[in-house]
Amino acid sequence: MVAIMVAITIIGFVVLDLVIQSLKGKKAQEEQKINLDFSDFRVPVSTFFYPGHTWVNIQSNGEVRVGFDDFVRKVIGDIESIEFPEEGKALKQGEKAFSVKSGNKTLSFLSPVDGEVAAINKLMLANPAEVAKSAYHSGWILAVKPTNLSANLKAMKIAEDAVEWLKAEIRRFREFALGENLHYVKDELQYEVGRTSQDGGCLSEGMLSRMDEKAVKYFEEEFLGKPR
Amino acid sequence: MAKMGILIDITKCIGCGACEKACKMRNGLPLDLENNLSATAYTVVQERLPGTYVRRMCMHCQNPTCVSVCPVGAFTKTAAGPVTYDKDKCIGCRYCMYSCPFSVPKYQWDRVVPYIQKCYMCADRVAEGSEPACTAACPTGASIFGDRDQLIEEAQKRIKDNPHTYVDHLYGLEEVGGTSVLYLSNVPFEKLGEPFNINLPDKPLPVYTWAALEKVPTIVVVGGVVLTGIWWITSRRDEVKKFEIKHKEQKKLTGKGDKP
Amino acid sequence: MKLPKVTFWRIVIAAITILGLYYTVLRYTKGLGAVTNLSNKYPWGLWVGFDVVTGVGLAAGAFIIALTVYIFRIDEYKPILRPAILTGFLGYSLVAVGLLYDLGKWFDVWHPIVFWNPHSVMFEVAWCVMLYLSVLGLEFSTVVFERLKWHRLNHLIHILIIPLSILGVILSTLHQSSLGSLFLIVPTKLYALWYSPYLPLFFFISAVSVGLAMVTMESFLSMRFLGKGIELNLLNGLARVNVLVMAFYLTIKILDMAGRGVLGDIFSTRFESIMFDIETLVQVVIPFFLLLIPAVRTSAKGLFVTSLFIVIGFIMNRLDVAITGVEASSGTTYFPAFGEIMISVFLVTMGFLAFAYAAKYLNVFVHVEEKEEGPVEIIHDV
Repeated sequence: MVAIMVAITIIGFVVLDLVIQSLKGKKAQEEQKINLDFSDFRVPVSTFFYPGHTWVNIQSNGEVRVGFDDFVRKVIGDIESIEFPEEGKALKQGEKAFSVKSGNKTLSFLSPVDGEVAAINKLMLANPAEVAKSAYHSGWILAVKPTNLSANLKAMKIAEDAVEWLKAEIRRFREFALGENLHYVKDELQYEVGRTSQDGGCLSEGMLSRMDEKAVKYFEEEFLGKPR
Repeated sequence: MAKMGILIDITKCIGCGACEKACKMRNGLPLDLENNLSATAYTVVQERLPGTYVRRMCMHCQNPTCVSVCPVGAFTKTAAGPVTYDKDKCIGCRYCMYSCPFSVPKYQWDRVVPYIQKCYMCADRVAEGSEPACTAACPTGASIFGDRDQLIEEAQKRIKDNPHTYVDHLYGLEEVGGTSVLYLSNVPFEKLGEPFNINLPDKPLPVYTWAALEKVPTIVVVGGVVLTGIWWITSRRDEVKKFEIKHKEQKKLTGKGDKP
Repeated sequence: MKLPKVTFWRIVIAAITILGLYYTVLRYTKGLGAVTNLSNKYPWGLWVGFDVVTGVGLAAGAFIIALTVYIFRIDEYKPILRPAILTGFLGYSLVAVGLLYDLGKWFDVWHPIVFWNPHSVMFEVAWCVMLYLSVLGLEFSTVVFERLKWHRLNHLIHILIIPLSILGVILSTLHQSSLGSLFLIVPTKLYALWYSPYLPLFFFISAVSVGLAMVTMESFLSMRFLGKGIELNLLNGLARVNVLVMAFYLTIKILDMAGRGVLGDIFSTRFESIMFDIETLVQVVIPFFLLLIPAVRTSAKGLFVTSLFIVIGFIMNRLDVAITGVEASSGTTYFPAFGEIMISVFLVTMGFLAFAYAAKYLNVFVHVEEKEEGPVEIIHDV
């Protein structure tokens, strides 16, 4: 009996917390869903950002880890699968490195460095939707043995520069979604965005799934960059 | 000094309660008679079957569980036979109560500073060559005090002489390695209820624990050596790896330097 | 002064604290009988079963991660070392505090240092817990020294850390298994499905399993309440080890039951048998099969749920052995009094709070700085 009592007490506390979270969550989610603002983003201190929204983190064994940033992750929403390059494949900065599938859409990402693929993140292979949520830690995509790192790094931004750059990108994305490119976005989203656009326009997580093919293509070229 | 003991002959007990009273007076306990052993009753006489009385008290095991389990050694099996308790050493963990096969030690639950209470076979009187208060008070000789070996002889003689009266079992001769308190009965013991109906092993219970406890020094030594060994290997591995990388890079450097 | 925001959990914590303090006063002024349902027939209850026997097991994560990082030198696991050691330190401290509630003469708690009885398992456990608490204190002290900028002391600990961790692993092995040995003395009282000469081994292996699960739970609780990131790949590694540990546990448990001829008892409808079945399912069988599924192993939710299973099953196992298993032979029934439950809940809550404050003011979660040798040196061609 005692064992059952203790077990039920613990389960009770966990369930209670879930209920409270979901009550709170409902309110917050509605706000959050629309309010993809600057404050939703963090730039990790030791990470270099490549203009194609990929990042590079230098490991102590000399390899670099490569992933895509949290901004793109939020725009994409649920990630279904990742198309990895083979291990050992040579990569060049600005050329296609890997692609990400979500719904019926595929986005290609450019490599931020020159080098050779040393490893891929098996966790991302197994469960991308969950793992990707930790965009700068567990959510890395490739480990690369760099061959031209110091030159490559010149094209990247770190720390304050990265923050400024990311802010500019978010602004640009808003314009893309709201401004002259509005015609690329489906009606449903126009309404949602239009409704709250007085304070400079707000964006929702997983917007990509509501965009048509043309808009996605535009996003890919404008934000992720065209392969050289 | 001889190992003393008490022989309780259930056939002779009339349930008068003289032993209970004598015990309570001897130990300054409240005189109301109680049904069960408690912090204020070190011995009780219980009518287990109509007309059959069983006196319960500490069994004073030859190899006592309480002595072995107590973390601070508050219990002692004295040379004379009684198992005594040192209330000043006791920390109140109650492991003795939990583990005693006869559930003898009782606790002062209502006190702010509680102690374990149990029969100590009037160890002070025994040390003076006298006998415990209870056996001295018994009017029928149902409880007699004496040298344990002689009591065993006496009990076996009674069984032999009256095979139709007694069941052929001297309880306490072998149970948990033997106890200083022995019981004779005319009713099969398992019908008498606790503790006789518990199927106690003849091995002393501390033996079960010792089987695990005796491995402690081995675990310490082997564990220490193995862990240090593993650490040495892993740290060596890391050093070698570091050295190799350094060496390779250096070779590359000097190799290039030679070329032009 | 700004008042703290009123949230649901803060109200709950406040209520628990008030009740906890009330029963604490009651316990120390009126004695054990006033607060607990313990009796002469039932001398050990929730405080021994949960606060001490279970608490020590739940804090086992610290020695496993210390073993991994310091002895096996698998540096990957460094980010979870400090939270694990902090949990261990707090867990063992709570065990010590729990003992102060449970011991009748709590002010004599130091007696085992002076009065020795090497034949007592309790004596061995007392010493191991005492020493291991000191080891954990020293291991964690680096975090405090770091904060206070006492670099010299920090350096001293740094030199001692390897011997300390070796000592910690040995002490943990000893007392985790000895908690099982505590019950070897009651072969006639403990129900046959639980009583086994291999109890020490079972206790040790299940402590390893729950230690791994607890480290996982800590990560999620830190994420939920402190907003820290989780190292999913590390937790995934722990889960994979745990699959092996659980498989081993289940195997030896079945072999042992078959060897003692009590395997058939698991199909009995006795209360104890049903409890044993529930406990085993929750503690080992269900999490084992769940963790075999890669999608569970790699998802945050999956890892959280399986760890919760293991932890709850483990708690049930310890309470079954310490309390339920001896109920039939005691001739009475026991259910903890409200005061007993409140004190236990109060202690666990204090543990959570202490963890939260330590995480706030000390460098517990930040990636630990690289070892002194730094990144591997690579000399570039000039």
